[in-house]
Amino acid sequence: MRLLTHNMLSSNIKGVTNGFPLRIEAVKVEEKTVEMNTDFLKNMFVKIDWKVLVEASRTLGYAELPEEGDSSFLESDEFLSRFHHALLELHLEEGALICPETGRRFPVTKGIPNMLLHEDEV
Amino acid sequence: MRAFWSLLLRTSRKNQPFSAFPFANFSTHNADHSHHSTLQIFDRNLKRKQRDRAAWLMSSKDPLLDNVAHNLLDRLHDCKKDFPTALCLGGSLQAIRRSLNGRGSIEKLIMMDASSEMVQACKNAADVSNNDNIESVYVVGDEEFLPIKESSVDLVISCLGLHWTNDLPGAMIQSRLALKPDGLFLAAILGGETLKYFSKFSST
Repeated sequence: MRLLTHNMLSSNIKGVTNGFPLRIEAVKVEEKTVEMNTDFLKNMFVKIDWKVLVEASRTLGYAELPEEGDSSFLESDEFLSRFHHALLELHLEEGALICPETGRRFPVTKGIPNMLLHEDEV
Repeated sequence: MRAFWSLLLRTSRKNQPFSAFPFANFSTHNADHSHHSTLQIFDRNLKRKQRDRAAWLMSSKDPLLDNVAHNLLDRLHDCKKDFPTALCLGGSLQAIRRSLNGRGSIEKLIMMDASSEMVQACKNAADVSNNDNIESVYVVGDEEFLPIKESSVDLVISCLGLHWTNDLPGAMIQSRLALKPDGLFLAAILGGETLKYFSKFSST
């Protein structure tokens, strides 16, 4: 699971009012090099929640992103490559996503988060 | 293709009036835990297991599913809009992936199914034939309880994957919440004439 995915997922347990962002519990993190697509990054920059991405990348052991995101940074190649690395190259292979309100763990196995709920949670 | 109902719904350009509420409250299940307001027609747990097994037997091409996916995705040509972020709900994920061919200018595609084996199979197939530059994201999730952030996708596609939901209105309400204003919900569901054909077959 890449942090791009994490930035869109939210907990939907019954009664939870704010299930976003999910906390990350990392057991195994992998890095996979992919080609950089500048246009995609620029499009994604406006859509993602920057603070959540920074926090999540720190949890996975990557602390190179600036605290505040600003669209003027997109002109800098160095910023783009860091952004690219955090968003698309860091993979959470094994671990869990944790609901911020209830503490419920959603397991991540083989890089795929399992967001299915138990019967008593719906 | 009169055997399939195609659904094409647009969300209004204005923000949804009830977007301040959490997702879970928008299933149409009764708030009371003791019983559900909607009839539990399908055993979703069993259905998931059946689909887990089906994933192992699936072939890499299926003319029926490909045909439905093609017909459904053709509707994207009717829209002038681009859909950078799309969510594909369970059903025929792989058929959608095969048939997309750049339609809708999708940049990021979330593939979601309640069956983890289906999602895994889809991921494996994409790893082998990585022939386009759509960023794909794989999630195991239930369409009746959508784990997607509100107002975050431009397009929701469901290809033959909503007819086994117990709470169809609830699932559609949640898709609508996940959509941004002016988003598109595109779905093919078995129904109407198809069911008549089935009963004809089963009675002969």
